[in-house]
Amino acid sequence: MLDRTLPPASPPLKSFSLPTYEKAALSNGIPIYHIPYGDLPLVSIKAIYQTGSSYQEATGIAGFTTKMMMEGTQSYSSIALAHKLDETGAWLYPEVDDEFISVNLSTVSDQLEEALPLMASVMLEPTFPEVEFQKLMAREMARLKVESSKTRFQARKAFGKLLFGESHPYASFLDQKELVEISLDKLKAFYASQLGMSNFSLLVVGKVNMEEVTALLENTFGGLSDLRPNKAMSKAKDAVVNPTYGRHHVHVEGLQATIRLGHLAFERAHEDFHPMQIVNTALGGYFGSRLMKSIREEKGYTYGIYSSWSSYKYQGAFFIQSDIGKEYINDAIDTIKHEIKLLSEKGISSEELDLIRNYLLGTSINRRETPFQIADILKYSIAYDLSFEEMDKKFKVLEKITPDEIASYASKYFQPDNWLEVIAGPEF
Amino acid sequence: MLQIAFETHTLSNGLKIIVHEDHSVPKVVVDILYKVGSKDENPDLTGFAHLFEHLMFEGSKNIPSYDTPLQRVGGQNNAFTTPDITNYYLTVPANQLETAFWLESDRMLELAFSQEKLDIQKSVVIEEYKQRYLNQPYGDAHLKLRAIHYTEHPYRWPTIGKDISHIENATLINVKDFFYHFYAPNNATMVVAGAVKPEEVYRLAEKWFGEIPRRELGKKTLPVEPAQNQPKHLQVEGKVPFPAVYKMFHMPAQSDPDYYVADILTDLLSNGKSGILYQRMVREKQIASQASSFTWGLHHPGIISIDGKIAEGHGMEEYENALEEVLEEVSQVSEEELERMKKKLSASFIMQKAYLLNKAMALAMYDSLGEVDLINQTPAIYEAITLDQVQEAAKKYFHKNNCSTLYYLPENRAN
Repeated sequence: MLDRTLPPASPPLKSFSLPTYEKAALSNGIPIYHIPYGDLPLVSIKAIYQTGSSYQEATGIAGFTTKMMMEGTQSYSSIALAHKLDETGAWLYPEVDDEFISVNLSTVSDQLEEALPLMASVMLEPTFPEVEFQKLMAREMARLKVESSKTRFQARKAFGKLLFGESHPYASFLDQKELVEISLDKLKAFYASQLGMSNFSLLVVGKVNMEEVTALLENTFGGLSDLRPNKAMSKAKDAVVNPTYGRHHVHVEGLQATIRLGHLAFERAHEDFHPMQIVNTALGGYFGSRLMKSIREEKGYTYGIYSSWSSYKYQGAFFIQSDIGKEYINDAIDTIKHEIKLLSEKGISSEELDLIRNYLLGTSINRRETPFQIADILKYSIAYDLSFEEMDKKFKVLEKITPDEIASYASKYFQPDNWLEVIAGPEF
Repeated sequence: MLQIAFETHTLSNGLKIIVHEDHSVPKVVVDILYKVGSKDENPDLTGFAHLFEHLMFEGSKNIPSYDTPLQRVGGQNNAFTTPDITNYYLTVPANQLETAFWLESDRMLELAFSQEKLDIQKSVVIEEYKQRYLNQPYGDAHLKLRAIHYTEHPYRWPTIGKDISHIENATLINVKDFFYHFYAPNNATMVVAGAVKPEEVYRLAEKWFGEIPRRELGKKTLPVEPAQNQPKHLQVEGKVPFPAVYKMFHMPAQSDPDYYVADILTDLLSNGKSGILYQRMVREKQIASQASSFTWGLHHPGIISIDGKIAEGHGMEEYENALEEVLEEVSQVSEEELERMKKKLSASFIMQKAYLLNKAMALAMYDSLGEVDLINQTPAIYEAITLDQVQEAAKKYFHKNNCSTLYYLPENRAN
């Protein structure tokens, strides 16, 4: 007779390590990082520029510059580019981070030869047509009018501004007021100074014949000569941080409020980055977290709640976010504070730590399944100048961290008595 | 490699098992599809299949918590409910398969029914209702339109429930009743995909699921939706910045060969930047600030929806006229446009296969349609669609008598 009350034997778990990459260069010196990955004929190619939204003069400039790069080039109009992409089945999309910009191509391997020239055209010869710009601005204005009526939008906007200070690059947030300040000249100027040189790195992850791909890349990018490094600096590097803590209510009519609570954290290179990722997992980083258990599973105040210990290149933010029925807001905030104090004062059991350890080991497999996921990890490591060893360090830290250390990290870094509480929603 | 190999095996209690071997990463997906959805609900107790999905995570007969033991072996899980099915899926490292079976078999055997847990999950689902549908601009548009688009068929109410009061009224007796009518090995399919061997899967499945009794199912014959023979209209007001127009057209069931033709129509309309709807309405004429089209593929005749937000300075009539032209244009789509869309779809079929979870869910979904191997036949089915078929389908389905329309207007601006 099967005893269903007891779990079956569980063999020990291992982390699923990152693969290694090879680095080469085109004849002009543009670096190429390469990882063969996956069984399917798929490939991800990315060009990574050392610039980003922290390099822009005003909110939205970096983002709209890359959007406009897709809206017309010397070889293709906006619609011609879209049609060409359909024919290859490839995805071509720019991405803007605080500290990098990338142009990304995901495609079936045998379409790479057709798709790569489209990527190059977007990167190297955008024309910034006025008519497309005007249409883009009109669409964006309409989109923002819808978005700005949402509680999440208002909570994120207010939280960033109060946490970092209005003028800090990490508080930059696009709303209607910022949108109308954007001009085509500003976008062209940003392209010329930040993306016009060929100082990018290339990465290739997937199942391809690397000799053929190198020849293709050489043919496409190897003749570029303007490889000057970007002289601009991230404006986040020396920006003054000026937090305003306390409670802040943004009025939005509705049935629920988005609450966003938290305080400053630290930068990505900080020695306690990995331990704090583990501490945050316990607090609000996964479905079984303490906040999910108490605010959702015990009290039923919300559909979901999570916390994040976000470390950017030069600063960081710790925050908890949830959409909560208006009648529950006060008790939810008290309970959240109580949970943080409990974690800081009492720590966690070795049983709970084991659970978190195994849970995180399991996620390492899920996050490294496809070439697209591996390419994203590689992109981040190149842009943030972090080794692959560093990208995997969380699992090393996990092996050694103790329950007592979890408590001491939590009490060292969490400050729920002096923090920011943004509540975007109705009166409560 | 591009073909998805699978084998099937059915236990004596009726549980169907589908195994797909893929050793590229050391993990396994277990996807259990129960053939029950919101269409099986009592019209006075809607939203129940979805509420029940929440309760499936609140502990079973012999195991007080579902999530914790799964996370303890490196697992992640989630679930979703549709009008037709309820699908539970999890991922574990490949050597932890048996823990997954232990958990899944116990909740198929019997739940730990408790009033307290029911009350909490009712509250969670009500907050979910607010978060997704009521506290978002235009969030309830599809809910309201479906309610008039269907007159007889249970697709007329949404999976989340027709009204919050239906969720509030659910009792523990309803919960037990629902479980024993629909949660049975003979009403489920289990897909196991990943770094596993079929013989081992079958051995463990027999061990954990084999003793669960077959149950008498409470399936009813559902009403057939009568053909619509005139346009329907509805107008609502809400806290929204712009007027918006939502349209729904009846389309064939997923098992109908014409389903794929109807599906490619929505791709031609709005799959990406080149879509005809998006190009004409948003990019060229700028009558809409946003426009998109979806296929709601369902077991019974489903929906093609076309949504648009009116751009400032333009009106409903202008939108309607321009949309009519777009639908006319789709009915005259060129060979070149159709071929381009087929190439795009063919690449996306390959990209989707990069994720084990996608493959497992697709296997379960196609099985629920009665033909697992559709997973391999689908690309060829799309490839074989002819220009004539597409043009005819556009004329047939985009007919005004087949259409229900909702005008969503900003408060105080209604006319």
